[in-house]
Amino acid sequence: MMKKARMHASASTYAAFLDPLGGFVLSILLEQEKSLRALKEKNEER
Amino acid sequence: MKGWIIDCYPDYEHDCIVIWIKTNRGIERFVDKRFFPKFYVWAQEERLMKLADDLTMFDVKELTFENKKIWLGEEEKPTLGVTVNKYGSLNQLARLVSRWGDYRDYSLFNVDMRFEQRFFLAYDLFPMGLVEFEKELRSIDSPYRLDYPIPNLRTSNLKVNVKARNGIPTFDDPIGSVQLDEVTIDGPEENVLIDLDSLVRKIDPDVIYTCDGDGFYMHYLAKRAERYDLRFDLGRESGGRFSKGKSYFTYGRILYKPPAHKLRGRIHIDTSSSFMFAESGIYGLIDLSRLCGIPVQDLSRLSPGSAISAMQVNEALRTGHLVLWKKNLPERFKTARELIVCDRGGFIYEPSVGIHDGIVEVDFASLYPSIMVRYNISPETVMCDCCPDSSRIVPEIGYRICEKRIGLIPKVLDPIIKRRLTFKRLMKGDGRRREIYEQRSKILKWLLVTCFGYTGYRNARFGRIECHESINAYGREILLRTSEIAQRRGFRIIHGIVDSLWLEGDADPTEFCKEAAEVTGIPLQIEGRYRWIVFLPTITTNVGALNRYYGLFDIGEIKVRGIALRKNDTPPLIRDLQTDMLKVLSKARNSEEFKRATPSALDVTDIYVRDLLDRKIPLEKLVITKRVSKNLNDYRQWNDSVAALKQLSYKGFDIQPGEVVEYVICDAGSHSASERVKIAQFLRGDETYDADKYVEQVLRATADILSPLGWDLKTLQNRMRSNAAGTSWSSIRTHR
Repeated sequence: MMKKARMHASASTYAAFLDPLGGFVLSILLEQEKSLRALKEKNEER
Repeated sequence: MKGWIIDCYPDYEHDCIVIWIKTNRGIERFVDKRFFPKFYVWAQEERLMKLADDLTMFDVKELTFENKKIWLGEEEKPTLGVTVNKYGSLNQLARLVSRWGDYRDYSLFNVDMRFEQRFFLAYDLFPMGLVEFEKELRSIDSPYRLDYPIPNLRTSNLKVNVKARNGIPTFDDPIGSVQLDEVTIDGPEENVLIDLDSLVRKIDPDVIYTCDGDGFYMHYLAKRAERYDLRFDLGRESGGRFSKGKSYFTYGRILYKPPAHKLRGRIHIDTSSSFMFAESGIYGLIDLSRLCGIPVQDLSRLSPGSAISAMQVNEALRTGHLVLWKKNLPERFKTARELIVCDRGGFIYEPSVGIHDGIVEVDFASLYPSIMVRYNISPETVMCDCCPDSSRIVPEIGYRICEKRIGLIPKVLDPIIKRRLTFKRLMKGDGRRREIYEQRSKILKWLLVTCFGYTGYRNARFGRIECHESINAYGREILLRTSEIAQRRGFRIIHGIVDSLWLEGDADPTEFCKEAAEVTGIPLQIEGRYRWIVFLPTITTNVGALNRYYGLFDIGEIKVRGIALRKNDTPPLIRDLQTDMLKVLSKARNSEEFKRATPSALDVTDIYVRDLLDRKIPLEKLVITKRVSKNLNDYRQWNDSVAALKQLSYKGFDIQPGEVVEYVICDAGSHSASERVKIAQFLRGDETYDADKYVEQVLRATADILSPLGWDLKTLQNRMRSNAAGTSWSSIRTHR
């Protein structure tokens, strides 16, 4: 999860959240969403 | 007669300015007695009258009431000008006045400025400029000329060999020999000193280059001469100009500035400690000296930041401003929310780690200085009083910028940016003067690089944090807009840092740059197209790292950033290893071929490992250079640097924070300072190095390059173990 947050550290800085947790959680959600989507697509292909 | 001003300094004993002028026939010493320094005081009018009254009791040459602008862009106000008789009394008198006003009631101006800079300004002269002189000096040159005659300077290289008992020379060791250009002088120490003195006088060089003359040798020669009651002075006139060495902290590093040892009438340049000389050479220094009004000898010991500050001061004074002593411009209060929005740096797109084909890199040329010029950013234009309804608004943070006047900083920077572009264009022609243009362009580049940082430096003469914030805000906006244009044109952004973008895709980069330059107002250039480029992860987290990559341009040139090869503390062995690996990899024309070349690159690693274990590597290849950040007593942990410092301290050498130590690791696990490392200068040649430790470094350096292809440190270590088991390699553990 830390790694997922780090992947979006620069974007989070740009967004300038008052509470850094906002960017942290969003980064993790975004990366999870991406993996979910990838898994779903893989499943549908089968 | 005509000639060039090559040196200039105040004579505090006789209260005059001494100028050395190089003519076509030789050298002339010129003394100017017209000049007397002046400082200014501003206070409420009645206090000022009283002060003038009080000051008449002192040795003051002249007291004048003058209308001056006391801060950039303000209206003129009545001030008291105090001209002193004695050069040495200016500072004392200023301090006294400041004390009289309880350090609060009087604002003092033009106090801490170089005398030669004042002198040049007062008479419209500049160093390295051509002058005509009979009774008075008269400039027949302009500092902004692109091509100007340069004096034919006679240069000499001075090298001193010390009979150092402990490997590292000290003041107690005698002189072995001295080398001036091709002439070597040896024999009894006293004769060496006398012969050197007369040889310097005979050759009469204008410039003397030394390596570490400031840090050690000049002081050393003087100390040795004292033993024989000789007076040692290589200047054209006796009397040195010295300053103390000091350690200082900057950008997360401790650095050491050696004491200055300047000569009179001759230019002494210490090639090992002059940053600007190392970067741009003598032609760069001469060009900058002309522009900023600081003589070459002094300039070579300053940072580019001091030079740009001097130019700003000159411009301010020329336009009727005064320069405040002990500036105290408080930062406007900001809420936490405002700080979060304002206090940010440049924009970054995290790189996608791995190897990529056909990437185009585009860069904005001098982005930050161009922003300052184009958007008129200066301490007096950001949130000025005169334009509360200005339509120029800084993106994101909303500061308003003056529309009525051009600020001081843009005024100074604009000609420098244009000058640099012209030199860069001239460089492309292959004339005899190519080297000269290149050096000039380089020094101007450093000037432009530092001027942005100085806007955020509280103690800088014209620093103001709001300028710094505005420049960053514009920078982010520009990179974002440019990215949008790139994406609309079908590029994919692989990486971006502050002023550069790495783009993937088949769209036309030239057309893209043209559009981006039109929209942003700042030229965007194509740095090149890569056949392949590898973006590296950070070592600890595996997420893409900024500024760690290497790639091969389609013109066959390799660009490398952030790997061990580029770092100063890397031993030559590791540098050789990475260079050899890159040589193998650079034969690949695309990522497929790159992957196929990886085994050959690993073969290079194997050769280095084998040589290390077979003890075939000469010790000088293993020397690690570390910059010391603390005094020995302040270290709490036990590591190689501490061991090195201890070893030096046993032999009586005291290393200042910011200085470097060089050593070879002999036994990384040892608790004894003398067994753990060996100082490079103490090496006899029969020491055994710690092969395991260096093998680990070789593997780390390999992982440094190949980790995105699956070769991290662990994998490499496993590979080596299995290799060792199957080949003639002796086991690593038993090899100690």
